[in-house]
Amino acid sequence: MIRILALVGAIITMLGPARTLVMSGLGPDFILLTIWAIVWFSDQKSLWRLALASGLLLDFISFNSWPVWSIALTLGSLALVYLKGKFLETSSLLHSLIGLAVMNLVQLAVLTIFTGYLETGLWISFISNLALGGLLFYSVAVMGRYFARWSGRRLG
Amino acid sequence: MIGRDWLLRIALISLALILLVVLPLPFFQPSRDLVRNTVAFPVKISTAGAAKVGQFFRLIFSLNELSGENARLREENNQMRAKVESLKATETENQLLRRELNFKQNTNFNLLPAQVLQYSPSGLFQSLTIDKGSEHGLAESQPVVSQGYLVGRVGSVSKKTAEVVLITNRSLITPVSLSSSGVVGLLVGGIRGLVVENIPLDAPVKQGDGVVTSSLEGLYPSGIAVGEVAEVISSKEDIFLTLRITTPLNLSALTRVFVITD
Repeated sequence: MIRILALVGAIITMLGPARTLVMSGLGPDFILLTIWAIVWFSDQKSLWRLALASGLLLDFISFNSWPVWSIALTLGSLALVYLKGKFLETSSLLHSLIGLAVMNLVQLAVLTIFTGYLETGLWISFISNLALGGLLFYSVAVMGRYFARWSGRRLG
Repeated sequence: MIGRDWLLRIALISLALILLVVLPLPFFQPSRDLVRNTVAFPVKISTAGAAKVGQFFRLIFSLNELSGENARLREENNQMRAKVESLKATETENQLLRRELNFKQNTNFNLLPAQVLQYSPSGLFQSLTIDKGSEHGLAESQPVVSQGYLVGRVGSVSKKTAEVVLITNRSLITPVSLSSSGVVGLLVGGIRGLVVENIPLDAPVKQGDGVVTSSLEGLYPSGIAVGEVAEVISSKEDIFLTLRITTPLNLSALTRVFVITD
Protein backbone atom coordinates (compact mmCIF):
# COMPACT_ATOMS: atom_id res chain seq x y z
CA MET A 1 0.00 0.00 0.00
CA ILE A 2 2.85 2.39 0.89
CA ARG A 3 4.44 1.66 -2.47
CA ILE A 4 1.25 2.49 -4.36
CA LEU A 5 0.75 5.69 -2.34
CA ALA A 6 4.36 6.72 -2.98
CA LEU A 7 3.87 6.14 -6.71
CA VAL A 8 0.60 8.08 -6.83
CA GLY A 9 2.31 10.90 -4.90
CA ALA A 10 5.19 10.90 -7.38
CA ILE A 11 2.83 11.04 -10.37
CA ILE A 12 0.83 13.93 -8.89
CA THR A 13 4.06 15.77 -8.03
CA MET A 14 5.32 15.43 -11.60
CA LEU A 15 2.04 16.64 -13.10
CA GLY A 16 1.67 19.66 -10.80
CA PRO A 17 4.02 20.94 -8.10
CA ALA A 18 7.24 19.90 -9.86
CA ARG A 19 6.19 21.24 -13.27
CA THR A 20 8.73 24.08 -13.26
CA LEU A 21 11.55 21.57 -12.77
CA VAL A 22 10.01 19.18 -15.31
CA MET A 23 9.48 21.79 -18.02
CA SER A 24 12.93 23.32 -17.63
CA GLY A 25 14.53 19.87 -17.90
CA LEU A 26 16.23 20.19 -14.53
CA GLY A 27 14.52 17.13 -13.11
CA PRO A 28 14.53 14.98 -11.06
CA ASP A 29 12.01 12.46 -12.35
CA PHE A 30 10.13 11.41 -9.21
CA ILE A 31 8.14 8.67 -10.97
CA LEU A 32 11.31 7.01 -12.24
CA LEU A 33 13.00 7.33 -8.84
CA THR A 34 10.03 5.85 -6.99
CA ILE A 35 9.77 2.87 -9.35
CA TRP A 36 13.53 2.37 -9.12
CA ALA A 37 13.43 2.41 -5.30
CA ILE A 38 10.46 0.02 -5.21
CA VAL A 39 12.08 -2.49 -7.59
CA TRP A 40 15.58 -2.13 -6.14
CA PHE A 41 14.73 -2.64 -2.48
CA SER A 42 12.22 -5.43 -2.95
CA ASP A 43 12.87 -9.13 -3.34
CA GLN A 44 9.70 -9.54 -5.40
CA LYS A 45 10.44 -9.64 -9.10
CA SER A 46 6.81 -8.94 -9.98
CA LEU A 47 6.93 -5.30 -8.89
CA TRP A 48 7.65 -4.17 -12.46
CA ARG A 49 3.84 -4.40 -12.78
CA LEU A 50 3.63 -1.18 -10.76
CA ALA A 51 5.69 0.48 -13.49
CA LEU A 52 3.25 -0.83 -16.10
CA ALA A 53 0.30 0.46 -14.06
CA SER A 54 1.91 3.90 -13.70
CA GLY A 55 2.65 3.95 -17.42
CA LEU A 56 -0.94 3.03 -18.21
CA LEU A 57 -2.24 5.87 -16.04
CA LEU A 58 0.12 8.38 -17.66
CA ASP A 59 -0.84 7.19 -21.15
CA PHE A 60 -4.50 7.33 -20.23
CA ILE A 61 -4.32 10.99 -19.21
CA SER A 62 -1.90 12.11 -21.92
CA PHE A 63 -2.73 12.70 -25.58
CA ASN A 64 0.01 10.51 -27.08
CA SER A 65 -1.19 8.27 -29.86
CA TRP A 66 1.15 5.51 -28.66
CA PRO A 67 1.53 3.93 -25.20
CA VAL A 68 4.85 5.72 -24.74
CA TRP A 69 4.88 5.79 -20.96
CA SER A 70 3.80 2.17 -20.52
CA ILE A 71 6.60 1.00 -22.79
CA ALA A 72 9.25 3.34 -21.32
CA LEU A 73 8.56 2.57 -17.67
CA THR A 74 7.96 -1.17 -18.16
CA LEU A 75 11.10 -1.71 -20.24
CA GLY A 76 13.14 0.35 -17.77
CA SER A 77 11.93 -1.61 -14.76
CA LEU A 78 12.30 -4.99 -16.53
CA ALA A 79 15.90 -4.04 -17.41
CA LEU A 80 16.48 -3.21 -13.74
CA VAL A 81 14.94 -6.53 -12.57
CA TYR A 82 17.18 -8.41 -15.04
CA LEU A 83 20.39 -6.56 -14.09
CA LYS A 84 19.66 -6.83 -10.38
CA GLY A 85 19.30 -10.57 -10.57
CA LYS A 86 22.39 -11.16 -12.73
CA PHE A 87 25.04 -8.47 -12.34
CA LEU A 88 24.13 -5.90 -9.71
CA GLU A 89 24.33 -6.27 -5.95
CA THR A 90 21.49 -4.61 -3.98
CA SER A 91 23.76 -3.53 -1.12
CA SER A 92 26.13 -1.54 -3.33
CA LEU A 93 25.48 2.17 -3.83
CA LEU A 94 27.48 2.14 -7.04
CA HIS A 95 25.50 -0.80 -8.42
CA SER A 96 22.22 0.81 -7.45
CA LEU A 97 23.17 3.99 -9.30
CA ILE A 98 24.23 1.96 -12.36
CA GLY A 99 20.79 0.33 -12.27
CA LEU A 100 19.12 3.74 -12.01
CA ALA A 101 21.23 5.13 -14.87
CA VAL A 102 20.30 2.18 -17.11
CA MET A 103 16.62 2.58 -16.26
CA ASN A 104 16.79 6.31 -16.97
CA LEU A 105 18.58 5.77 -20.29
CA VAL A 106 16.05 3.15 -21.38
CA GLN A 107 13.22 5.57 -20.59
CA LEU A 108 14.95 8.44 -22.42
CA ALA A 109 15.66 6.20 -25.43
CA VAL A 110 12.01 5.13 -25.70
CA LEU A 111 10.72 8.70 -25.33
CA THR A 112 13.27 9.98 -27.86
CA ILE A 113 12.24 7.33 -30.40
CA PHE A 114 8.57 8.23 -30.02
CA THR A 115 9.00 12.01 -30.07
CA GLY A 116 11.49 11.85 -32.93
CA TYR A 117 14.04 14.29 -31.53
CA LEU A 118 16.93 14.11 -29.11
CA GLU A 119 16.70 16.67 -26.31
CA THR A 120 20.27 17.11 -25.14
CA GLY A 121 19.12 19.50 -22.40
CA LEU A 122 17.84 16.54 -20.37
CA TRP A 123 21.33 15.59 -19.14
CA ILE A 124 20.83 17.83 -16.09
CA SER A 125 17.72 15.83 -15.23
CA PHE A 126 19.78 12.64 -15.63
CA ILE A 127 22.45 13.91 -13.22
CA SER A 128 19.87 15.14 -10.67
CA ASN A 129 18.18 11.72 -10.82
CA LEU A 130 21.48 10.09 -9.91
CA ALA A 131 22.16 12.60 -7.12
CA LEU A 132 18.72 12.12 -5.60
CA GLY A 133 19.01 8.37 -6.21
CA GLY A 134 22.11 8.30 -3.96
CA LEU A 135 20.26 10.15 -1.21
CA LEU A 136 17.23 7.90 -1.64
CA PHE A 137 19.44 4.81 -1.42
CA TYR A 138 20.78 5.84 1.99
CA SER A 139 17.40 7.08 3.26
CA VAL A 140 15.55 3.88 2.35
CA ALA A 141 18.42 1.72 3.59
CA VAL A 142 18.40 3.49 6.96
CA MET A 143 14.61 3.57 7.31
CA GLY A 144 14.20 -0.03 6.20
CA ARG A 145 17.15 -1.21 8.35
CA TYR A 146 18.81 -2.67 5.28
CA PHE A 147 22.34 -1.95 6.49
CA ALA A 148 21.93 -4.49 9.30
CA ARG A 149 20.68 -7.06 6.81
CA TRP A 150 23.56 -6.32 4.44
CA SER A 151 26.29 -6.32 7.06
CA GLY A 152 29.28 -8.24 5.88
CA ARG A 153 28.41 -8.09 2.19
CA ARG A 154 28.11 -4.38 1.47
CA LEU A 155 30.48 -3.29 -1.25
CA GLY A 156 30.34 0.46 -0.52
CA MET B 1 10.55 -23.60 -22.57
CA ILE B 2 9.13 -20.26 -21.48
CA GLY B 3 8.35 -20.06 -17.77
CA ARG B 4 4.93 -19.20 -16.34
CA ASP B 5 6.21 -15.89 -15.03
CA TRP B 6 7.41 -14.82 -18.47
CA LEU B 7 4.13 -15.90 -20.08
CA LEU B 8 2.29 -13.73 -17.55
CA ARG B 9 4.59 -10.80 -18.31
CA ILE B 10 4.06 -11.12 -22.07
CA ALA B 11 0.30 -11.51 -21.64
CA LEU B 12 0.04 -8.45 -19.38
CA ILE B 13 2.14 -6.26 -21.66
CA SER B 14 0.24 -7.41 -24.77
CA LEU B 15 -3.07 -6.69 -23.08
CA ALA B 16 -1.89 -3.24 -22.06
CA LEU B 17 -0.64 -2.49 -25.57
CA ILE B 18 -3.88 -3.64 -27.20
CA LEU B 19 -5.85 -1.51 -24.75
CA LEU B 20 -3.73 1.51 -25.45
CA VAL B 21 -3.90 1.11 -29.21
CA VAL B 22 -7.70 1.21 -29.04
CA LEU B 23 -7.77 3.96 -26.40
CA PRO B 24 -7.44 6.88 -28.85
CA LEU B 25 -10.79 5.83 -30.36
CA PRO B 26 -13.60 8.35 -29.72
CA PHE B 27 -15.48 5.68 -27.74
CA PHE B 28 -13.00 6.03 -24.87
CA GLN B 29 -12.91 9.84 -24.87
CA PRO B 30 -15.44 10.39 -22.05
CA SER B 31 -13.66 7.99 -19.69
CA ARG B 32 -10.25 9.51 -20.46
CA ASP B 33 -11.67 13.00 -19.87
CA LEU B 34 -13.07 11.80 -16.55
CA VAL B 35 -9.68 10.42 -15.46
CA ARG B 36 -7.93 13.65 -16.53
CA ASN B 37 -10.37 15.76 -14.53
CA THR B 38 -10.12 13.40 -11.53
CA VAL B 39 -6.31 13.48 -11.54
CA ALA B 40 -6.43 17.27 -11.94
CA PHE B 41 -8.04 17.70 -8.51
CA PRO B 42 -5.14 16.39 -6.34
CA VAL B 43 -2.69 17.99 -8.79
CA LYS B 44 -4.37 21.37 -8.27
CA ILE B 45 -4.41 21.05 -4.48
CA SER B 46 -0.79 19.90 -4.24
CA THR B 47 0.37 22.63 -6.67
CA ALA B 48 -1.39 25.29 -4.58
CA GLY B 49 0.17 23.83 -1.41
CA ALA B 50 3.65 23.79 -2.95
CA ALA B 51 3.18 27.37 -4.16
CA LYS B 52 2.22 28.50 -0.61
CA VAL B 53 5.31 26.80 0.87
CA GLY B 54 7.50 28.39 -1.83
CA GLN B 55 5.91 31.79 -1.16
CA PHE B 56 6.60 31.45 2.58
CA PHE B 57 10.29 30.74 2.02
CA ARG B 58 10.60 33.51 -0.56
CA LEU B 59 9.05 35.91 1.97
CA ILE B 60 11.55 34.93 4.65
CA PHE B 61 14.49 35.41 2.32
CA SER B 62 13.21 38.74 1.00
CA LEU B 63 12.41 40.51 4.31
CA ASN B 64 15.58 42.60 4.10
CA GLU B 65 14.72 43.92 0.68
CA LEU B 66 11.09 44.67 1.54
CA SER B 67 11.53 48.04 3.26
CA GLY B 68 13.68 49.40 0.42
CA GLU B 69 11.25 48.01 -2.13
CA ASN B 70 8.34 49.61 -0.29
CA ALA B 71 9.89 53.08 -0.50
CA ARG B 72 10.69 52.57 -4.17
CA LEU B 73 7.13 51.39 -4.89
CA ARG B 74 5.62 54.45 -3.17
CA GLU B 75 7.70 56.68 -5.38
CA GLU B 76 6.69 54.67 -8.46
CA ASN B 77 3.05 54.82 -7.36
CA ASN B 78 3.13 58.61 -7.30
CA GLN B 79 4.69 58.70 -10.75
CA MET B 80 2.07 56.24 -12.05
CA ARG B 81 -0.77 58.35 -10.67
CA ALA B 82 0.55 61.31 -12.59
CA LYS B 83 0.86 59.14 -15.70
CA VAL B 84 -2.71 57.81 -15.34
CA GLU B 85 -4.06 61.33 -15.26
CA SER B 86 -2.14 62.22 -18.38
CA LEU B 87 -3.29 58.97 -20.09
CA LYS B 88 -6.93 59.73 -19.29
CA ALA B 89 -6.62 62.91 -21.26
CA THR B 90 -4.94 61.06 -24.13
CA GLU B 91 -7.66 58.39 -24.11
CA THR B 92 -10.41 60.95 -24.45
CA GLU B 93 -8.55 62.55 -27.32
CA ASN B 94 -7.98 59.11 -28.90
CA GLN B 95 -11.69 58.21 -28.70
CA LEU B 96 -12.61 61.44 -30.42
CA LEU B 97 -10.09 60.83 -33.20
CA ARG B 98 -11.24 57.21 -33.68
CA ARG B 99 -14.82 58.29 -34.04
CA GLU B 100 -13.76 60.77 -36.62
CA LEU B 101 -11.69 58.27 -38.61
CA ASN B 102 -14.29 55.50 -38.21
CA PHE B 103 -11.52 53.34 -36.83
CA LYS B 104 -12.24 49.68 -36.50
CA GLN B 105 -10.52 47.83 -33.69
CA ASN B 106 -8.69 44.80 -35.04
CA THR B 107 -8.12 42.98 -31.80
CA ASN B 108 -11.54 41.42 -31.49
CA PHE B 109 -10.39 37.82 -31.14
CA ASN B 110 -12.89 35.40 -29.73
CA LEU B 111 -11.14 34.25 -26.55
CA LEU B 112 -12.21 31.16 -24.64
CA PRO B 113 -10.82 30.95 -21.09
CA ALA B 114 -9.55 27.54 -19.99
CA GLN B 115 -8.07 26.17 -16.79
CA VAL B 116 -4.79 24.24 -16.87
CA LEU B 117 -5.43 20.73 -15.53
CA GLN B 118 -1.91 19.32 -15.60
CA TYR B 119 1.44 19.50 -17.33
CA SER B 120 3.15 16.66 -19.20
CA PRO B 121 5.28 14.51 -16.88
CA SER B 122 8.43 15.00 -18.99
CA GLY B 123 10.17 18.11 -20.30
CA LEU B 124 10.49 16.31 -23.62
CA PHE B 125 6.82 16.83 -24.45
CA GLN B 126 6.44 20.50 -23.37
CA SER B 127 2.65 20.38 -23.30
CA LEU B 128 -0.23 20.83 -20.91
CA THR B 129 -3.86 19.76 -20.63
CA ILE B 130 -6.75 22.22 -20.38
CA ASP B 131 -10.34 21.73 -19.24
CA LYS B 132 -12.01 22.70 -22.53
CA GLY B 133 -12.57 20.41 -25.50
CA SER B 134 -14.42 19.99 -28.76
CA GLU B 135 -17.80 20.53 -27.10
CA HIS B 136 -16.65 24.06 -26.19
CA GLY B 137 -15.66 24.81 -29.78
CA LEU B 138 -11.98 23.90 -29.59
CA ALA B 139 -10.23 22.51 -32.64
CA GLU B 140 -6.66 21.51 -33.47
CA SER B 141 -4.12 24.27 -34.23
CA GLN B 142 -6.01 27.11 -32.55
CA PRO B 143 -3.59 29.60 -30.95
CA VAL B 144 -3.42 29.77 -27.15
CA VAL B 145 -2.47 32.97 -25.30
CA SER B 146 -2.00 34.20 -21.76
CA GLN B 147 -1.77 37.87 -20.73
CA GLY B 148 -1.76 38.72 -24.43
CA TYR B 149 1.34 36.61 -25.17
CA LEU B 150 1.45 33.45 -27.25
CA VAL B 151 1.60 30.25 -25.19
CA GLY B 152 1.29 27.63 -27.92
CA ARG B 153 -1.22 25.82 -30.06
CA VAL B 154 -4.04 23.39 -29.42
CA GLY B 155 -2.81 19.86 -30.16
CA SER B 156 -5.12 16.87 -29.78
CA VAL B 157 -8.68 17.61 -28.76
CA SER B 158 -11.00 15.42 -26.75
CA LYS B 159 -14.64 16.10 -25.91
CA LYS B 160 -14.03 17.89 -22.58
CA THR B 161 -10.25 18.36 -22.51
CA ALA B 162 -7.52 19.35 -24.93
CA GLU B 163 -3.76 19.31 -25.21
CA VAL B 164 -1.84 22.57 -25.63
CA VAL B 165 1.54 22.21 -27.29
CA LEU B 166 3.75 24.95 -25.82
CA ILE B 167 5.94 27.17 -27.98
CA THR B 168 8.90 25.58 -26.17
CA ASN B 169 8.06 22.23 -27.81
CA ARG B 170 10.73 21.25 -30.36
CA SER B 171 8.17 20.05 -32.90
CA LEU B 172 6.29 23.36 -32.98
CA ILE B 173 7.62 25.87 -35.51
CA THR B 174 5.96 29.29 -35.37
CA PRO B 175 6.32 31.96 -38.07
CA VAL B 176 7.11 35.27 -36.36
CA SER B 177 8.15 38.76 -37.37
CA LEU B 178 10.17 41.48 -35.69
CA SER B 179 7.79 44.30 -34.89
CA SER B 180 10.39 47.02 -35.55
CA SER B 181 11.36 45.93 -39.07
CA GLY B 182 8.72 43.39 -40.11
CA VAL B 183 11.42 40.81 -40.95
CA VAL B 184 10.02 37.27 -40.81
CA GLY B 185 11.72 34.33 -39.09
CA LEU B 186 10.86 30.98 -37.55
CA LEU B 187 10.42 30.55 -33.82
CA VAL B 188 11.73 27.23 -32.51
CA GLY B 189 11.50 26.10 -28.91
CA GLY B 190 13.40 23.72 -26.68
CA ILE B 191 14.12 23.02 -23.03
CA ARG B 192 16.79 25.74 -23.06
CA GLY B 193 14.45 28.45 -24.32
CA LEU B 194 13.20 30.11 -27.50
CA VAL B 195 15.15 31.08 -30.62
CA VAL B 196 14.17 32.75 -33.88
CA GLU B 197 16.00 31.35 -36.91
CA ASN B 198 16.28 32.30 -40.59
CA ILE B 199 16.57 36.06 -40.07
CA PRO B 200 18.49 37.63 -43.00
CA LEU B 201 21.99 38.83 -42.09
CA ASP B 202 21.30 42.40 -43.16
CA ALA B 203 18.12 42.71 -41.04
CA PRO B 204 18.29 45.51 -38.47
CA VAL B 205 18.04 43.75 -35.11
CA LYS B 206 18.63 45.15 -31.67
CA GLN B 207 18.11 43.93 -28.13
CA GLY B 208 14.57 44.54 -26.88
CA ASP B 209 12.93 44.41 -30.33
CA GLY B 210 9.42 43.00 -30.04
CA VAL B 211 8.58 39.65 -31.65
CA VAL B 212 5.02 38.96 -32.82
CA THR B 213 3.34 36.16 -34.74
CA SER B 214 3.22 36.35 -38.52
CA SER B 215 0.24 35.23 -40.59
CA LEU B 216 2.64 33.48 -42.98
CA GLU B 217 1.29 30.01 -43.91
CA GLY B 218 -2.00 30.96 -42.23
CA LEU B 219 -1.14 29.18 -38.98
CA TYR B 220 -1.64 32.17 -36.67
CA PRO B 221 -3.31 35.55 -36.87
CA SER B 222 -0.61 38.18 -37.17
CA GLY B 223 0.36 40.46 -34.31
CA ILE B 224 0.11 38.20 -31.24
CA ALA B 225 3.01 39.14 -28.95
CA VAL B 226 5.60 36.41 -28.41
CA GLY B 227 8.39 38.18 -26.53
CA GLU B 228 11.43 40.30 -27.21
CA VAL B 229 14.92 39.84 -28.58
CA ALA B 230 17.41 39.08 -25.80
CA GLU B 231 20.56 38.60 -27.93
CA VAL B 232 21.93 37.50 -31.27
CA ILE B 233 23.42 34.03 -30.81
CA SER B 234 24.51 33.12 -34.35
CA SER B 235 28.20 33.20 -35.19
CA LYS B 236 29.83 35.36 -37.89
CA GLU B 237 30.11 32.45 -40.32
CA ASP B 238 26.35 31.73 -40.31
CA ILE B 239 24.33 32.77 -43.33
CA PHE B 240 21.29 33.66 -41.22
CA LEU B 241 20.90 35.39 -37.88
CA THR B 242 19.66 33.39 -34.91
CA LEU B 243 18.10 35.32 -32.05
CA ARG B 244 17.43 34.26 -28.49
CA ILE B 245 13.97 35.37 -27.40
CA THR B 246 12.58 35.91 -23.91
CA THR B 247 8.92 35.85 -23.04
CA PRO B 248 7.56 37.58 -19.92
CA LEU B 249 5.38 34.52 -19.30
CA ASN B 250 6.47 31.72 -17.04
CA LEU B 251 5.33 28.90 -19.31
CA SER B 252 5.74 26.30 -16.59
CA ALA B 253 3.49 28.04 -14.07
CA LEU B 254 0.34 28.77 -16.08
CA THR B 255 -2.98 28.17 -14.36
CA ARG B 256 -5.33 29.79 -16.89
CA VAL B 257 -4.97 30.35 -20.62
CA PHE B 258 -7.14 31.73 -23.43
CA VAL B 259 -7.81 29.91 -26.69
CA ILE B 260 -8.43 32.02 -29.79
CA THR B 261 -11.37 30.15 -31.25
CA ASP B 262 -12.14 32.16 -34.39
